Amino acid sequence: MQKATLCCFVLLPLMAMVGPVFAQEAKSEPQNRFLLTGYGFANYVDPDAPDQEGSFSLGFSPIFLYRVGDKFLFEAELEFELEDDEVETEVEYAQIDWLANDYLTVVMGKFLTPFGTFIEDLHPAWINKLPTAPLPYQHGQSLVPFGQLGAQFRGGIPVGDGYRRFTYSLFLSNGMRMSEHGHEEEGLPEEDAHDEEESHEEIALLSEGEEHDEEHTEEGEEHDNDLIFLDSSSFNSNGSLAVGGRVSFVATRGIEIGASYLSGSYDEDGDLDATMFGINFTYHHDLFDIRGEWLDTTTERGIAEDGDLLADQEIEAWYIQPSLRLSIIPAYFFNKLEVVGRFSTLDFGEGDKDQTSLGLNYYFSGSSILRLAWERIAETGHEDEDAVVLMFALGF
Amino acid sequence: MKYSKTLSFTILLLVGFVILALGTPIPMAGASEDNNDEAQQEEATKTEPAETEASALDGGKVYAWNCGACHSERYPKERTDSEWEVIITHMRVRANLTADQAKAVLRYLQENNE
Repeated sequence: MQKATLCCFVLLPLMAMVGPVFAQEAKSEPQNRFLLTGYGFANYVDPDAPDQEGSFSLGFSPIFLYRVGDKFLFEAELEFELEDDEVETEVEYAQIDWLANDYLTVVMGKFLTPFGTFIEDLHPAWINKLPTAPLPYQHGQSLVPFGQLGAQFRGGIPVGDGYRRFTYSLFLSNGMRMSEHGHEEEGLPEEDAHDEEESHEEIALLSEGEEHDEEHTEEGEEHDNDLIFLDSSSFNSNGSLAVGGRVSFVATRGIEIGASYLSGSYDEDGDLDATMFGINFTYHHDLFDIRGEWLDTTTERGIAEDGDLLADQEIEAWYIQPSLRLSIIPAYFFNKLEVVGRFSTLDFGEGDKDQTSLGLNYYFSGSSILRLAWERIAETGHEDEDAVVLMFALGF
Repeated sequence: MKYSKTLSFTILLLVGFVILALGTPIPMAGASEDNNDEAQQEEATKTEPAETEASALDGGKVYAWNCGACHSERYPKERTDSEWEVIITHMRVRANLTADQAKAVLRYLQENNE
């Protein structure tokens, strides 16, 4: 069923478009154009904890754009981050866009997950108004995988006078797998941290319900209570595709309301499903904007090592982020300043985790910004963690 | 779960075809040339107001309300005409701008980058 559906998803739109494509060959061919753009950042994080030292880190992300005529675009973003003596590289996205008509773009490749607004629109360092991500989208511990490898329909449909629009993004992808990043990254005890191999092994056992010896059981019980975070999968390892998308209505003056959905299996056997639902809003008016997202995720855990059915992992999360440019003060210096705040929270049933951030941004230009922020993480059962972050971000 | 996924795929396909049907002119098989001419004239009459409306979109307004909602302003002089073409194609896909909105923003940026 899935293979037949996939064939329909890919081939039938191609067949439907054969006519218009041939019709265009008679017209004059526009020039192909290449453009290198992207962004970079350097920051200093000063944690307020006796056993942690301040540290610099940096990253840059070149974006390659190659436009072929009026109808096709290849776009790819690579990510390089230097942290803890290691260079982390990743293909954020690499996709071919076919602008089939005014209302439809067909995308194939690895693309940013169209879920909420943070992943697609706000994650670049020069755009994100704070040096950190909100809790639902923390690197390595995101509730939603940042990328999908698959195919996508997307576009905008004008409403009324043409300033408003309805947008949609619908995709099929290879799906998800457990995140390689464990709790270790968040400073939790090492004994709770998973490495990738261990994570896959454990989840396979959980889904199959195999029995283990007593020595393993105690460790297994600890792992049963760990939170599961998901990454995108570069291949369809379990024979099950993920499906998802986002719809939104964009009114005038930057007002947007959207809803997102993602569902797929994440274990090797395709038995355990994860489902995410989200709602987002944005209001932007000249100097002021406010945005927020609410997410509800359900992740099946399968069967525990003692044979009991584990309760699903249910996490509810949201964040709200207002910001104000201080141009209301009639002085050149204040024209360049912006204040921003954010509160985000994860509620995972047995406890919760809150993030409070306050920031001050100085805009040298629209795309070169100095950010200073204070952040507090408060988690049930842990001491509060404070940090000051200084970041210079540049879009080019 | 299996049932809901099948349903999701079906809905996805239906939505895709509706969009294709809206955006793709399909010639009538077996129609005479006269009928084709009439149909083309009728189609031209129908699309004329839409094109007029599209050209009437204020690119500056579209730029301020949509681009500014996510990121701080990028000045038109930062890029050449041809570079803006590539950028706006990229942003049309990323922000799901309508074709008319993308054209209006491109026109605004190209007219103000000298």
